[in-house]
Amino acid sequence: MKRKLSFSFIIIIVCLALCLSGCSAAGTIWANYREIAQLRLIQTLGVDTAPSGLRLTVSTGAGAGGTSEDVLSREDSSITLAMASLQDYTTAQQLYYAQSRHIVFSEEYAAEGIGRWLDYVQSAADVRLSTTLFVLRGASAQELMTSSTDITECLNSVQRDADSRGDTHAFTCGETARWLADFGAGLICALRAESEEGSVFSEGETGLTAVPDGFGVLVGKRVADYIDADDAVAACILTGLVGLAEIQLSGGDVVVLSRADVSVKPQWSCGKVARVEISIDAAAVLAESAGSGGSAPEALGALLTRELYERASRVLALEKELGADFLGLGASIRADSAQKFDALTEPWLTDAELVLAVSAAVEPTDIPHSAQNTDESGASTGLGK
Amino acid sequence: MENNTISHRQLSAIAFMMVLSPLMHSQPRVWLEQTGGAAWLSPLIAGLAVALLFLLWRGFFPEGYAAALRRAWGKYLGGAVMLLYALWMVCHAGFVLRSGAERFIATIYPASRYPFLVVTMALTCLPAALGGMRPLGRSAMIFRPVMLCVFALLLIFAVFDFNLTGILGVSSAQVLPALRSSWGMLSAATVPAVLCFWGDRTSEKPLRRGGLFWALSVAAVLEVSILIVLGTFGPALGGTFKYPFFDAVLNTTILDSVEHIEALAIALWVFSDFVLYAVLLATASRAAALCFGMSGESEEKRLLPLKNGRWLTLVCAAASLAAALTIAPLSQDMDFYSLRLIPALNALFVFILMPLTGLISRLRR
Repeated sequence: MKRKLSFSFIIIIVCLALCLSGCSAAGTIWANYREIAQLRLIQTLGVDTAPSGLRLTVSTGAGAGGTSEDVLSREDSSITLAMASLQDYTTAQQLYYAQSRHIVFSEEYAAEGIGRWLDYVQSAADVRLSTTLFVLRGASAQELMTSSTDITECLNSVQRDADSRGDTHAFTCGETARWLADFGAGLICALRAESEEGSVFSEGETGLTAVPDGFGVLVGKRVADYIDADDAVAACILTGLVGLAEIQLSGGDVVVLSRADVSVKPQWSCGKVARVEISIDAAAVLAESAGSGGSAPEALGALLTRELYERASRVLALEKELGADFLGLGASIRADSAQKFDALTEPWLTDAELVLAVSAAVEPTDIPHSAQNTDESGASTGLGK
Repeated sequence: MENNTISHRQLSAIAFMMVLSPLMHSQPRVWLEQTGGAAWLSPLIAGLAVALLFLLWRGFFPEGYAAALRRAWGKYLGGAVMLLYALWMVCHAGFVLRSGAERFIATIYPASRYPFLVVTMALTCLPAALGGMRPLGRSAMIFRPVMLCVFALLLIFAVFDFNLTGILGVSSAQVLPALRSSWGMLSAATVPAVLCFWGDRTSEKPLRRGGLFWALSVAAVLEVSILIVLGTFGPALGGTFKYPFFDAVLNTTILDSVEHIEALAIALWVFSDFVLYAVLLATASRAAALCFGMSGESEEKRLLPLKNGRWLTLVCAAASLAAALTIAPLSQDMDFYSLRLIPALNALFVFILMPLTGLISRLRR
């Protein structure tokens, strides 16, 4: 009996060993494992239009130990075919996309639609929805990635600074997909390709760099229009992505936004949204005085109110013109009355009048009043000495 | 006999672990598709209903469901019904193996094939099924706080990226779909009803608080999972994923530093599959053994004495393995089983046959 029991145990253990060991790679979990030295981690992808479909450019980013980045580029008819085609040129290592951090679309490609990429990232088990999306103006993604010193680090920097800048935001695939699913429209961080020549003086060649330049407006997964960097501050405020945006007022003074609260109040009539009252209550601090003499906080507050009003008005006008709720105001309207909102037969934006009210205050600062009256020689002409 | 005597705390822990796998397999996606933003209502409605059902069940089968079947339907018809139950549990066990493999392939191991995962799981759980209910109960009491901790941590890490503006409001048009989708949870949560077969093996008097705690903890866990999906993806996008909760885990980072925690978190669902499969196997073999007049239990504490009908455990394991390897050869076929066939069978055996048996058994007492 004991021999029978031991034999049974041995059979079970052998069967488990066959299933769990790496002896059989095909079909077991070990088929998914790769030696890390055999992987080439892709961190940034660039997508351009091409006659055959699309051109995919990938960058590994600078490696640890100072190894330079590798950039590969191939053209094909679809995403997966382009990835497979790239693999043909890297026989020693396997391209690994699970660490991809950024996807950059050229302006032309984004105008045709990025839906295919959103669907791909959603369905792929290895690429994460936290991959950030950008639309590039002024150059192709391939040009930027091949001439940039390290595009991944450049985009990492944009992403890191985005929220504190207050005039841009690096939306991820997940955020973009959610906005498109919830509102039918959304925003994508826009970049402008600029030459480093004349700005960057360091060892090595200068090439192109990517500079934040507002937002692209996604309508139905295509970039239909753009919001420039100035108006992007208002777009950030209206979407709740408030940062420390620097705003130059008409008098030349520069203030830094410290707070901006938005309230959205719909007014219903006959089951439709007749009017939406949008109120912005902002506060800022003076960062740089133009010395014009008109720099009293009250005056600055009035200038800031007018500046924010103009910028926000342009953004809201664009939303109304495109008929696309890329600011996500529908969420606030639904929060007001889910019953009425769900009963709407047409998009709420169709009939709604958008009414904007802005009140802004500039808080007193430590910049001395006398400094505003100093002449060019440095002698004070005001109070003090 | 000793190995099959369990306390109600252990029963409650086993019941909790048993529902995690079937509930997470498809319910969040179904709720989001049917109810949209009001999906958070469904766990609350279903939790109340489950608590009520549990209280009703506890009164029916204190002597074990097998005795109730014999009393209600007679010796031979009752035995036949017991065999039917055994067959249902074997098929369900096969589905558990197949769906567990599918979950691993869809989320973590895309290059794997399901037969290897199915066979490995079956062989791993077989000693647990042979070992008796008490070790399973003890294991479940260890697994349960681990899983609760995982849910709590996932909620904490995910909450920083939540956006629930305009989502939690409920319109009248969403109430009926919420009620309908809570039925899906009920039919998935019925599997622990098989524990009624062990009613004569509990060592303490029934604790009603245990049942309420079980229902509330299951509802809380589901509520957390739905909130994580709604907060991360929103209702429209969340409903497009195959496993929205696991996809939310896939995209969770810990303090913006640690990524790709999905393998660790999703692999913990193996505990649920382990308990569920082992309990179904043990209960199916016990039901079959009782049907043929055997006890299905061993006097010894060792694993492999196969007398008194314990050899039926191996037969049930082989049958469940065969079922797992033959059903749903393609991933797209899984929806038919998980959304239609299995809930329908669960409803038949638990919501129709069980109350009927209990009622007739009580009348004949």
